[in-house]
Amino acid sequence: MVEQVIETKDLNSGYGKLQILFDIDIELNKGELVTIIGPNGSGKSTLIKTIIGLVPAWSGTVMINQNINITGMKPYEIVTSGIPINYVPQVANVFPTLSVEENLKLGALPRDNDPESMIQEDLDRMFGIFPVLQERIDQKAALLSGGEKQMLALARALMSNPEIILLDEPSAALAPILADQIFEKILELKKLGLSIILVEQRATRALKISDRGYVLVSGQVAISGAAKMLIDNEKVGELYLGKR
Amino acid sequence: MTDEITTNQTLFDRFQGQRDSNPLFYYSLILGILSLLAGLIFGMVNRIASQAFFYDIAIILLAMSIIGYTMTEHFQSLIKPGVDWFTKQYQQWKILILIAIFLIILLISYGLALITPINFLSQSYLAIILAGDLIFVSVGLTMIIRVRKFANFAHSELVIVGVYAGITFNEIMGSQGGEWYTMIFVELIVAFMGAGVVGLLSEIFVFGPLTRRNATPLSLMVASIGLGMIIRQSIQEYHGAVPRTFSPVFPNFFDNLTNIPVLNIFFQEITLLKLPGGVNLSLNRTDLWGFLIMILTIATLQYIFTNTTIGISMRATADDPELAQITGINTQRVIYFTWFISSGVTGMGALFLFKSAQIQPGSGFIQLLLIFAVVILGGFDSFKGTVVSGFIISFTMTGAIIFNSKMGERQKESELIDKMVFWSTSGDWKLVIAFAIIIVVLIFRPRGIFGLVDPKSKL
Repeated sequence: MVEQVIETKDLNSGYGKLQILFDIDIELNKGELVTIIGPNGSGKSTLIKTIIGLVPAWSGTVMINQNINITGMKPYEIVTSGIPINYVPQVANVFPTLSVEENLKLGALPRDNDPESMIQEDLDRMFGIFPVLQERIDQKAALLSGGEKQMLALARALMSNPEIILLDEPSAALAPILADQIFEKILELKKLGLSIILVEQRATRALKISDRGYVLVSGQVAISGAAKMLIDNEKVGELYLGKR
Repeated sequence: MTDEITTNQTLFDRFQGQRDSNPLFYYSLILGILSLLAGLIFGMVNRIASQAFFYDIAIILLAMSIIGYTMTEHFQSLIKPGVDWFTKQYQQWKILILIAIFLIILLISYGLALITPINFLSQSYLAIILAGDLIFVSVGLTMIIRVRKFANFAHSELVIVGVYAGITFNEIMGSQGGEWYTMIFVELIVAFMGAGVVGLLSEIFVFGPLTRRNATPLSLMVASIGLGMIIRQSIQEYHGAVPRTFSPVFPNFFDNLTNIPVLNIFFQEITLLKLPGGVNLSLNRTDLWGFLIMILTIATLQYIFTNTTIGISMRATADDPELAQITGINTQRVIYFTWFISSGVTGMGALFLFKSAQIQPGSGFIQLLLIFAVVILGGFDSFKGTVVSGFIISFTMTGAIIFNSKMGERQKESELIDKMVFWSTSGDWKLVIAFAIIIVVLIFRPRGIFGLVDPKSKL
């Protein structure tokens, strides 16, 4: 049976008086990796910011695990009330003046009920997935390279033990080889059982590892379907994947 | 940035280049220098009041130009290698380096006192104490700038609230002098709570609502000037403008502890050390307690910042409030906590900055530029920077006093304290020299000594 972990219904939102999103209906099923692609300014980032509560929704609902309504909740309320969701912003996704260790420990902040030993275990688990972070444990995050920062951002989000994770262009501003590494890590996370929404500019690359995809145009879902279908779809190809 | 070094621009060209990109710096510096000249000319023709007026204007304009200067594009620091070397040594030896520096300063001043008629040792002691007081009232502003990203001009009012909280508390309790609750340790708590609550309220009722309406750091700064006036006038309404005095009182049992060797300097009111070579040094227990409590406070703050969840949350909120929210930090609560703690610490420091001195509701504002100088030179948002720049400014000012006073004439200690803590209206070169040094340092190190904030952004 398909279990929806995120479902948005008629979601409208924007900044100030400027409406960005129009009646968005998307869903994410358990264990799925869904990619949202679309041209610049189509509202991809705004969509996941609205889901997590950084941008207030004007109308519509966001449901988690079919029965928790998080519409209108502030981000810290969502993460601290035990809803297993976390978000990695596109840029500025680590605390630059905090050390790698402090960044990771802050990630575990929502789990104040868990014993210290459990958090330490997860910390070690993160170092297993991202070995480079262990080498830099005492360094300030500002001194990490672009790729390392993305790894830290991912690890920080994972420290809250989420079941759902929203990623905003994790490969942005990275060299292709580093972007590949990040995509590999994302696939690894999917295999661990996480449900993932991925917003990406590198559409083909992202769709290749995804189950399904949504194409957002001017704040509306233009096309959606299986990732393979989207890659082969000529219209999508012409417009957004750079195929001629 | 490196381009600027390689091009053969004169200092004047570079200054002219600031006219459009940084009018605040450009015009306030020109007007500041003109006012300084005007002050000098009036001084020559013995128009003392006009001289005082223009000097005051000049000091304010020069301070503004320093703020402007920190916003400009700058060339690489020339003193960077030296700072890097020191940082490396410091990371290795930490506290030992600091103690060594103190000892070296004291030894040098002892040596100077032996060979000159001026008691440099005593001056160094006073400079260290003044530095401690300045740092005490400045760290709070550093915290606020770091977390809230604007320059709070009402900070000087938090200083004055600290002292008046003590005075008011004594009045309410009907003190005749000497009761248990007039003791400095009780008053410190009173000052902490008084200033802390005022700081907290200013966020709840002024800065918070403004920020939610998307106020820029500049409008928050202007609002803080207005808020400062309101606080100042409110105190004046209640207490009047008559100068008041707050004298720290110590428990009676201190008198029984004066036999303890070495540590008795903390218990007897004044300890006169007669050193070989005819150099005297008199230590005041209020000074020493102030310095000790300052160190304990900073150490506590440092501990909170690095080892507690709330402290790390504060740094995280300072770094990136949005990301902090996503991480699960209640940033609103963190900001309230920051205001309360930083204002409270400021109030505590105020008791020592104004120890046994006459104060009026307006006295705090006069100290504001000095506090800002400490914070700016320290790099706006760095604890370490605030501490180091507190010492630099204090020693510069003390040096300027020595320079200013007639060489060869030993002055009474009390006169010197008066001169140091309170600016006489004008004619006093110590601030001009202190600010000139700051300008020079900032030319070479625009982010201040340990600054993290990009001078182009923020503020």
